[in-house]
Amino acid sequence: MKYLTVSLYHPSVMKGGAQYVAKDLHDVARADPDTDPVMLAAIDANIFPQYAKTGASITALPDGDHEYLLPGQRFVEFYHLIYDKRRNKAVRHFLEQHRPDVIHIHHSLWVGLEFLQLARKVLPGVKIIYTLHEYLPICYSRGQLFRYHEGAICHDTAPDQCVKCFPDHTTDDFILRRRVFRRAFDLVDHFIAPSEYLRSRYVDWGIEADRISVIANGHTPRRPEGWTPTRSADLNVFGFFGQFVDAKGIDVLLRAAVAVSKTKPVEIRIFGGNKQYASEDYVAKVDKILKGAKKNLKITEAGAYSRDNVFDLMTTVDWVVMPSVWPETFGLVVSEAWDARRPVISSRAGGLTERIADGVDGLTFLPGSATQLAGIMDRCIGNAALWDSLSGGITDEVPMTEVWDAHKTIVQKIGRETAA
Amino acid sequence: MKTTFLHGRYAEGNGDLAERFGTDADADANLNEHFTRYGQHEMRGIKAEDYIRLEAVFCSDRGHIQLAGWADRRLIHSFHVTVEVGYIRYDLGEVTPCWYERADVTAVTGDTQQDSGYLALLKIDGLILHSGVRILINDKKMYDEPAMRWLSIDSFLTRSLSACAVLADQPVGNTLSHAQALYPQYAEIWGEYLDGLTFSAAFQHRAQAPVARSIIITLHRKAEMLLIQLDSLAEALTRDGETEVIVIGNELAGAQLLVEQLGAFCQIHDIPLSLHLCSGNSGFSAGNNHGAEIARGEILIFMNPDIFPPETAPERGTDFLFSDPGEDLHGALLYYGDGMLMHSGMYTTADLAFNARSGVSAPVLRVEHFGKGLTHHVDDAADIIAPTLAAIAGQPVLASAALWKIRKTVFDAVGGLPIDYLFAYYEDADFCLALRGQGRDIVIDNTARWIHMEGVGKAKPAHVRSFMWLNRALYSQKFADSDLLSDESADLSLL
Repeated sequence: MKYLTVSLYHPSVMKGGAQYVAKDLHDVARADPDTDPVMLAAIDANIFPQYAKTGASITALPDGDHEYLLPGQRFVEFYHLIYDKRRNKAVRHFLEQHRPDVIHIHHSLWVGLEFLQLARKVLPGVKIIYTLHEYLPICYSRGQLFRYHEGAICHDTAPDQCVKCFPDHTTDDFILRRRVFRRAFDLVDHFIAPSEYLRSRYVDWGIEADRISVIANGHTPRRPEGWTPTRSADLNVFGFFGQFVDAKGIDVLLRAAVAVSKTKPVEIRIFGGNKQYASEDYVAKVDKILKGAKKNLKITEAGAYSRDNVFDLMTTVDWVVMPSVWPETFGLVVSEAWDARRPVISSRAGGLTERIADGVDGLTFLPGSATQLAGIMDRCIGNAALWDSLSGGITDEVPMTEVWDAHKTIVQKIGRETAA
Repeated sequence: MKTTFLHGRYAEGNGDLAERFGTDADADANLNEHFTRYGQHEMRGIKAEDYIRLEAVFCSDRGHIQLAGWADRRLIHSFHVTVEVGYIRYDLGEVTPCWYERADVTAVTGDTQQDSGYLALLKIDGLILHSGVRILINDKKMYDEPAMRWLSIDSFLTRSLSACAVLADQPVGNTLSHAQALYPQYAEIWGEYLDGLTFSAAFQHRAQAPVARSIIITLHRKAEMLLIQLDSLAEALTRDGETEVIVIGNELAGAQLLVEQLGAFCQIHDIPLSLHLCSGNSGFSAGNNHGAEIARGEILIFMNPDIFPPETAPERGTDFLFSDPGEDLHGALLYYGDGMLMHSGMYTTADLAFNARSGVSAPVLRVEHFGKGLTHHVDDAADIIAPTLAAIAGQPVLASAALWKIRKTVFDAVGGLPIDYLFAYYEDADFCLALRGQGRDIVIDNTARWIHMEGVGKAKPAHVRSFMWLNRALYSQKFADSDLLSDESADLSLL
């Protein structure tokens, strides 16, 4: 089976959850003797001009094995369309040359929704599956289903509601945007959702329920064989892993930590980057919280991390906190924390609710509630019995081979449907 | 009561008259006569700027001049305009500006009986451009600009129309006469502007392919929905194989990018498609007329750039494209973006525009839409909307040019879309009435359903409000006596 993976970015170009998932699947497919995989990663060549060769719309990833890049110069952000002649020609020839049996698309950003039409035109019988990694098709607000003006999760994606986040647009704009995505998605044989929550949101939006399957993202363990988890003596080190952006809820964690530090010493370690993408208001809010910090509170900003060192970094904290205020689609950090047997304290937001079993392998709180989180942190500090219980309750994430098998099953199912 | 002419004060304040007539009692009669005949009109002894102001001046390089300001008309009885450009004086004589109510002026002057705001549109024939411009009203210098910025005609038109919004925004009865007075002047400017425009082909795909019909889409400035619109039509057009799409771009921004995108579109959808760019904004009529002129199909389909077939059942829209309208003009049921009925055809009716202060009333036409406000959905079964459609049977229905289907021969026989309307609005109703006047019929195809993503709740710019106002005046003037108007009772009961 010739299996083409089309992704937004490649981890070698820029790290990110969706491209990691795409690359992991590509790699596991390469190990499958029945599969001949090839990967095509769309990138924004304005940000990464070093990958854009003049006149070449497709170029090989240096030292990559069957991995190619599709650099683009422009992208219609609202509709996720490109319509580039040179690129269309290159993609057409690429598809004709590789003739995949399956095209697995992981994103429309910089891929362009018309890619689906072109693929159908060039290869009418190709099976197209599409992994929905976030909510961009149904939410123009960074694909987060988070109403920044209200500071709350968006539960209603009706076009008139979108105007509340984007007053410069009209309801018709969002009706048309939805139409563009739906029309392109009609060309997809089957969708993959990493969580039931994400699946349900897309079903509510209009994708037929039987066209979306849930397959967890899978994880390749980094934990050495025979490794035993350890913890600090005071069990008061809480780690945050992720981007320093508004919807990740660092402010909630810090407010909780400030409250707890009034009675107990607390240490917060922040591993993440992209602070530049946080809003000015948000950074100001965080700074204000930090000004109120007591001497009992130690906060360390450790900067960015990668999957290569995340296991080791996880072991430097006792607890991993995911205070997201947006409905996380899956929660890759949970997989990474579990790998290091760190109990996760997470908000009950989106896909996280499916992953953390409260009191079994972690603890949960209401999204945005610093009070609830403070109570949990207070309970956790120095509580070895709780830590042992939760850490011992953690099971391994679904392995990549299993995830790949689940994809193959879906591909086969499409075949049966087509044959029927 | 005894009234005395103060000849001494008049002579003292006007040295030229003192020198001519003297200042003693013997000069009384001469000075009195001068004051009566000239002095009061020349505002002698009055500080002009206390009673008349010139607040805005626009000048085109073709000699068009617009003046706007206010005056206290109890003291300002005449409006004699002189324009000095460089070394040449142009005496435009006594002009009749459009006077309108200005509450801010009334609050100061205290005159609630007469309109104090004025707006005048003038023309200097044979203007020789120069840097310095002076404007005198009643021989008083009101404006002195040493480095005039002359506007090109399109710029003048836009700015001048924007200034007219103070008239357009008033109740139509207050300013209908002004619209009727100003329209001929604007029509002349509009005509000059149109004459200077050109069209050029910017993109052509399968230009020689034989076609039976031509879809004409005229854009203004933006093409943001075009590719999505074309994509929504592509499947049906590809299947049909005999339809070309002609896109006309008026003042199109980002044309080069659009050309690139259309090429990419045609790589996926192999349909005859062309883009023609106008050097300016030819408006709805001239743009579509150009499309009709270059169309190769026998049947023309005029389509706004915000028209889409229904999402759930596109064939309910696209089937409309492929039938022959015969000698009639065909329109379709149009629905809002949210799927609710926008209208099932239009009608036109008359109101009385009145101005109680001037004691004048006159008919002014209005274009209305059947079915607007009804809760029919684009996905509703035919029997749900049938009673609505039955209710309008027999009415003189018009079709919105948002979507028209007509044979080219018929379109030409009517004379194409009228280009005497500025930019847009009312030309489609005019065409419909002209067509019906030729004994032809207009049919709203009840089986055809289309989504019209017309902007909702967007405020119209000032110049747009003005040309709508002028066009309405023209439309009213042309068709006030037409027997194709729907009467008042129909207007009160039909929805």
